[in-house]
Amino acid sequence: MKAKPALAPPGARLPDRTVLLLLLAPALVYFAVYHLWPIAGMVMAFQDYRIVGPSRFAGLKHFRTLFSSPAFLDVLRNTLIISSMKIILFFPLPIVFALMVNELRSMFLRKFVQATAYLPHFLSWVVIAGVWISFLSPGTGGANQLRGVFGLPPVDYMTSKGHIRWVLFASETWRSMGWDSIIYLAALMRISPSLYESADMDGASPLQKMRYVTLPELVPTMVTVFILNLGFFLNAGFDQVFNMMNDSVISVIDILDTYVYRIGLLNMQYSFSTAASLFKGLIGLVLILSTHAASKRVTGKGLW
Amino acid sequence: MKKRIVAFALAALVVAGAWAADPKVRMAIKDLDTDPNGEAFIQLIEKGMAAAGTPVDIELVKVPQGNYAEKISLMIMSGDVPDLIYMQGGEDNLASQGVFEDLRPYVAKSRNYKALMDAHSVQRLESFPYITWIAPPRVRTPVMRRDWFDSLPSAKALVANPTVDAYYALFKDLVAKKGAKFGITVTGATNGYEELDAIFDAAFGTTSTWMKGGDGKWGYARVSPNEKAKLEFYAKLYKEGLLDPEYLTKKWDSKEQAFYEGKAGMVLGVAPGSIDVYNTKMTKAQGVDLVVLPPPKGKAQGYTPFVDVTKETRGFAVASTSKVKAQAFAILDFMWSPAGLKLAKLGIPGLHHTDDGKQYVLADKYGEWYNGWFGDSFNGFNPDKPLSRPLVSKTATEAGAMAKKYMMADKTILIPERYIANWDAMTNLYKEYMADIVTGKKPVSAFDEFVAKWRKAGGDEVTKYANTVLK
Repeated sequence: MKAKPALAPPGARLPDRTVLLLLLAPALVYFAVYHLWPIAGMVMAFQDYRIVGPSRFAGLKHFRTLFSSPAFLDVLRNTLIISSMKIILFFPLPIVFALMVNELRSMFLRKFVQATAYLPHFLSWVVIAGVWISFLSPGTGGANQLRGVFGLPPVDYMTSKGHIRWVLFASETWRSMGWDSIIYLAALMRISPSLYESADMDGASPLQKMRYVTLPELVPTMVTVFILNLGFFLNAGFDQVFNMMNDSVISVIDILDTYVYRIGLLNMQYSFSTAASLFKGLIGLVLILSTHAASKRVTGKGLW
Repeated sequence: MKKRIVAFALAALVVAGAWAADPKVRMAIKDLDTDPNGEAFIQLIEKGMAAAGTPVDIELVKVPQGNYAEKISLMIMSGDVPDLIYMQGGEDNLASQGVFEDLRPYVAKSRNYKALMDAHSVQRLESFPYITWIAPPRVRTPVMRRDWFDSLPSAKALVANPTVDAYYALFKDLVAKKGAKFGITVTGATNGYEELDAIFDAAFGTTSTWMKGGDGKWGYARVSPNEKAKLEFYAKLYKEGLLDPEYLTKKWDSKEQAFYEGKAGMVLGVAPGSIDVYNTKMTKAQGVDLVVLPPPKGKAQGYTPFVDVTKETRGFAVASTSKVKAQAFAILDFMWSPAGLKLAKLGIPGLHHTDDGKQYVLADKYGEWYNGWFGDSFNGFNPDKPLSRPLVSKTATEAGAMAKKYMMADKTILIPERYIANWDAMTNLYKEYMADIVTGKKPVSAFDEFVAKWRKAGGDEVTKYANTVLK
């Protein structure tokens, strides 16, 4: 007996496919216009861009300027440190948060916790910076008043080179932990209840169920999110750093994006900033491909 | 055949219509495209220009939201160049690419514009002929509330004999006798210490960005011994709680708020525009107006920012690619004619002011009108009838006069493209060392370490270049 094909023959399904393609079209157009087409503009990195008359080919001049700039190594180091903190240290937090929310049995409490955790995601970094600067103020801020209760002297966290990166990490966590947990909550919903029923029959404790059922089921989502996050490894958060930077901490939180903004946009060195962005993009691409390959080898799972 | 004749007639009509239409000028001005009265303002300009015999059809270009200087530069760099453009940064890079027209011939031929330019505007146009602006020099002046001024002998002593010590004594009194939390607040948003420097730079001997040393060579002022002595004084103010301890993270709004609430005894603002705003807000908050304070005497006396006469820091440019250059400049010329000035300075008739036959009555809404769209100056503004009240406060007028009296012409250079990345690193090095020295994280002796690092980071090279440019 001939097996039934998964899909009807192409001819018979044509009207449906057309509809599907039409539904897909806006997304394809979006990616073509905003993500594919601008890649052509990367040619500026190899030119001395001119508005009037043709741009002149400059070879690797802008890359040489970038790598020989006295600030470049500092900026790259800051970017790597802040990105690592955000990607590696931050990565487990939404997962833990999702697991905790998943354990809440009261629907009201669950919705309340989720809504409260999602809220900061909708605030702009201008507002968040204002809130954190005020919260961490050495004179009137809540954080230092709390220190005062324990007899500790106030700390000016915002101007302290030793603390400012942790301020970035903490404010990023406050803003994104709730929102980023959504994908894990969705993945938790998809776990078949039969797996938990089997674990119950085997006498598994709640922790064992988490260890042997929940976490393994979350691995594909975790791997995908981690690899995709690595693609943005050198995006240490322009808006956040820009709004929280002050003269005292430039050397420890000046990142590639703020550097490119100053040199490229404020000083209008567009070719130079394109070279820096291209460098950033290439690093991201290499990280995605290598992590994908490593993950495939180790866990059998990757992006595709 | 009939159809052909009709079609030909219609085409002829369209061509004739196009021929008769006023020349279209695309104009970009910061915030005018989002101002609720922007379109009405443009229509009145068109009407006024038609009456003056120079009709134009003005299209107000919408500039993407965000930092104007950044967005307009990006727009121009992407090839969309309006005919008449208000610029607020980046014009030197664009001019070097040949995007802007040399405005000197247009100014020379102008009916109104040329006659109303101040000496510094003339000098700037001569040395950088691609943007022009009629406005008083943007100099900051310190102000304090009048009730505190009247009751503090140290404030009066400062006006009688302004010195660095007199300022120090006043800061102390503001905290000790008036309950201010700190003598002065500034915002960290101003490129390092621009606001404090506005008072103290000259007294400590810094009178321009680049200064000639005893050896006849030019040196960067921020690495000079004057700077070190000044920073020592700032550090003392900080240590004694006279300078706002949170100034590094203060934004513009929180700085002003501290002043209106009486937490800060003194602030600085650009004269006369910002001072007028501060004066209005203080009158509303505390029921008192402000007093402008003179700069301290010392090695020299003056306010900063130094007035850069090498070029305007903002102003109008005409695109070199424009097909309506003369008409674009004609808009500027009209705005500085008596009819244009009346419109620019008094706002929309019926909304911002009314004419009761005897005088121009400024409406409550006048406060919402920005009268500096085409330049902050009031040169040439002589309305044919008296005004119901002055356009700017007495304090702001005084601040403007003080700014003119104590402004200092700058000696500076445009940093060439090849040094920009290094200059950025050197500037950040300066900002960070200064912040650390003033806030006590580093001793004053660290200034020498800063100078050595600055020189190594490219300072020597730029200084060498500056010596080839400056005369």
